[in-house]
Amino acid sequence: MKASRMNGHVSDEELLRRMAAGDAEAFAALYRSRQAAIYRYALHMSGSGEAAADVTQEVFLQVGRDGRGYRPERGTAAAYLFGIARNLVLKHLARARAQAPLQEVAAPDLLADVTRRETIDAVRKAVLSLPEHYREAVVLCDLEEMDYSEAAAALGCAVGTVRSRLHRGRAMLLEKLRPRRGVTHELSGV
Amino acid sequence: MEAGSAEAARHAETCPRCAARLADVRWLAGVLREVAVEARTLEAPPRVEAVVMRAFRERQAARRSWWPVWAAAAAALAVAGFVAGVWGARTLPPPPAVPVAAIPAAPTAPAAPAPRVARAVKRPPRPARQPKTEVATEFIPLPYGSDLPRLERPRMLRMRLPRTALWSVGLPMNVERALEPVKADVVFDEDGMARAIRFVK
Repeated sequence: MKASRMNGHVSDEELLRRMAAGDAEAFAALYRSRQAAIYRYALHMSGSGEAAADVTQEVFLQVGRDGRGYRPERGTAAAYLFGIARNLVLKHLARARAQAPLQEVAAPDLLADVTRRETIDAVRKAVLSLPEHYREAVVLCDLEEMDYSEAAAALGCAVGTVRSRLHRGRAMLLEKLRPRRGVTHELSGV
Repeated sequence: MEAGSAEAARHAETCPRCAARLADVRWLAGVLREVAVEARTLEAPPRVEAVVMRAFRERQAARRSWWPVWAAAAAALAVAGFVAGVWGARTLPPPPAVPVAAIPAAPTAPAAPAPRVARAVKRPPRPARQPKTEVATEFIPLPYGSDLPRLERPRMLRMRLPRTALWSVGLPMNVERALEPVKADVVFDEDGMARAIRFVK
C-alpha cells in the first residue's frame, strides 16, 4: 500500500485538507479511496462483516466530524485512518470479550482435506486466533501490504516493535498451521 | 518477506534445518498472499457510503445555515456599540465647571514614581465581596446540540451578544431594549462549533 494514494492527481492528504474545509466531493473521493482497506482490516481483525461495516462507517463519520484532527507531521492519511480504525476495532473486541468471555475463535481444523479454499479459511481462522497485537501486525503488513513505517504510525509504536510482533505472529501462525504444512521438525528459536 | 533474501537462500543450500525453516516461511508468505488476494474484492456495503455522506452534508448545511445568524448578530453588536457611544455623547449632561486651581497640572514628561509614604492611618478593612446573583435560562441546544451529552471536550465562554440573539433561538425580546447587548454562556465543541446557549441576567 502506498503511503499516499493519489486519486487522479490529488493525494489523500490533500483530500483530507479539502474535506476539513467543507468539500463534500473531496470527502467522497477519500471515502472511495480508503473504505475497502479499512473494511478489510476490520474484517480480518474481528472476523465479522457486520462489525467491519460498523467500524468503517464510524471511521468516516469521525473523520467527517473532526477532519481537522489530521496532522500531516504525524504521518500519512492512511496511518491516520487506520489509527482511528484500530481504536474502534479494539473497543469492539473488548466489548465482544466482555459480552461473551468464554467464546473463543475456533482453532483451524488441521485434519481437514487440504484444498485451496480450506487452506485460505484455515489461515484466516489462524490469524483470528492470534493475540490482538500480533494479529494487527500480520493483518496490516501481510494482508494489507503496508510497509513497516506506515504500520508503525497506524499502531502508534516503533518500527522495531512492528517487526518483532510480525515475526512472532508469523511464528505462531506456522505453529498453528504446521500439520497442514506437513512440517515434522520443531521450529525452535522463532 | 525476509525469506526472499539471497543470503538466506545461499545458507539454506548448505543447512537442511534452515532450508526447512525457509521453506516454511515461504509457504506461509504464499498462503497469506492468497488470503490477501482473495480479500481484495471485499469492501464496505453501499449503505455505509450513504450514511457517511449524508452525515457530512447535513453537518456542512447546518454550519452554513447558522453563519447568517451569527454574522448578523456580530454586525448588530458592532452597530449597537457605535450607536451607544454616539447616543451617550449626545445625551450626557455637560460636566460641571471646576475651578482652575483645583485641576492638577498634567505632567509634561513621564514622572519618576513617587516615593512611597508610610500611611499613618490604617484603612478600614474592605467588606467581603458578595457574590453577584445571576439568573440564567436553561441551555438551549443549537444544531447538533442534541448530541450535547456526548461532547468530549466542550468549552463554555461568556459572551455579550446583540439582544436579537434571543429571537434567533425562539425567546422573546424587549424591542425597546433592542440595542442593548445581552450576556450569554455559549458551549462550543472541539471543532469550535456552537452547540448550546443560555442567557444570563
